[in-house]
Amino acid sequence: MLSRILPRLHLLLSIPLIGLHLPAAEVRVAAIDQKGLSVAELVIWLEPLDAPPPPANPEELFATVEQVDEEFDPYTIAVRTGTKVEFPNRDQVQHHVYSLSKPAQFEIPLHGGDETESVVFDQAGLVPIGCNIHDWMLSYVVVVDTPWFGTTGDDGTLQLGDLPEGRYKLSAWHPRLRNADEREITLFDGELTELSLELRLRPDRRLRRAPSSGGAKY
Amino acid sequence: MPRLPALLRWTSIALATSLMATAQSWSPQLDLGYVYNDNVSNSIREEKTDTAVTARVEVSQVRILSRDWQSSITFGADTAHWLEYTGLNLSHLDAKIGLRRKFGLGPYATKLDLSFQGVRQIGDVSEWSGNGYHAAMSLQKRFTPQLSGSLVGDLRRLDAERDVYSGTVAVITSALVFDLTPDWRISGSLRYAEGTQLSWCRESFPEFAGKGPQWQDGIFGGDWFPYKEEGHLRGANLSIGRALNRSSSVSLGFDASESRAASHIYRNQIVSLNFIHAF
Repeated sequence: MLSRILPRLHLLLSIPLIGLHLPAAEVRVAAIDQKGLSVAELVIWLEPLDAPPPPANPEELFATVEQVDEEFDPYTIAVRTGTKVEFPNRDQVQHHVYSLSKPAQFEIPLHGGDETESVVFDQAGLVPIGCNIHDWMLSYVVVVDTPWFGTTGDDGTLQLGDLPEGRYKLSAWHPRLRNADEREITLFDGELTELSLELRLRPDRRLRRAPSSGGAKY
Repeated sequence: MPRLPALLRWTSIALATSLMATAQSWSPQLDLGYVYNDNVSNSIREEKTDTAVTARVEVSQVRILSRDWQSSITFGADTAHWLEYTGLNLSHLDAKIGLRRKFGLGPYATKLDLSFQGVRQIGDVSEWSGNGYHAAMSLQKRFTPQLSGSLVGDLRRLDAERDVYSGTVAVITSALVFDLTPDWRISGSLRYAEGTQLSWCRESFPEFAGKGPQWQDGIFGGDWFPYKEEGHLRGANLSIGRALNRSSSVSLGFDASESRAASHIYRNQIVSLNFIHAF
């Protein structure tokens, strides 16, 4: 008898928990440049100032940077420290992925046809990624030690949720920013905090990809 | 030798382009151009002026050999169709193998390229057809994201069916490329060449008076004939290009050169307009 009731009791007790909405803060960031244009691919992350960041869920420490149409996709990405990033080659041409950065130095010769290698990023910092064959290919992995991060979409906005109430250091970085934009913000449970960032971007200095007459393409 | 019909030549280019565009793991590229040359006869007087439409398709493939070495193979076909003096029309089929040594990783690493290209030339004047090769060595260095430079040594040889068209030329070219913006590019180069110079002359020119009848190819009509001499050339090139997107660009170039040999000095000024598309 008891064995038949207990599972149902457990079910009954869990119903209120499913409907329970834990109070949490949200933040919405909108970024524009000096011309008033939306800043896409801006990496934003929040580091708690009142408590250490919660431990990472190992299942979430996974990301992908593809090589497709002789470009890296995405151009900018934020990952948490300890994340394993895969670099699948979706092209038929060969790529040679590398980074010379301090947080992660590595090389991956990839021979095409969906071949994949991965790298674990275990130090926080900025990791520019390049292709040694196609010099114009560039991607930036921003390794952060916090679970609250993301990149802005084409409309220049990013919304992050499920943040505990408290003070945070909000950082924003883009390849066209000389230094990361940093500010302190305070979030409150159950509130959506909206922030506008006006960033002074430098000219886009990516290497030109378009072919030239008579010149070698690679 | 029968002349290669222009229609066949252009059809071959179009077919090759479509085939290459569908090829896997190869990087095809198309280059369409319009060229104005103020002295196509390379003559010291009575300079002949003409314009040409040009086309080139090529496919290339790069292979990683090791951390520092890459190899490449390129197959190409090109043709030039001169609007007035069609005897100047030349087409080429070529195959090139390349070897690159990159001294380090990344865009700022110095690159040393060695290449050897075998060329089959087909001329509307069949005696101009023949086989040749280009052997080249180049050093490239990027200084900033906008500025890069190169130094190229090139040896070219053609063995044509008639000896007057055959020759060997060694060229040294230094070039700088500056990207004003991610779209606009300006580039300039200086070159020095030494070797065989092909020119046309009239039997009635005083320099050749009394030397007897010469073989005439009929390109410029009348008593024009081709001749060759050993000499040197100094040239400069300036071009400005605009990227249309990441796969296409257009460029406008101006080239001036002066060729000197024992019995002649002639100058060329060439204006070119090109559209390049990488598939």
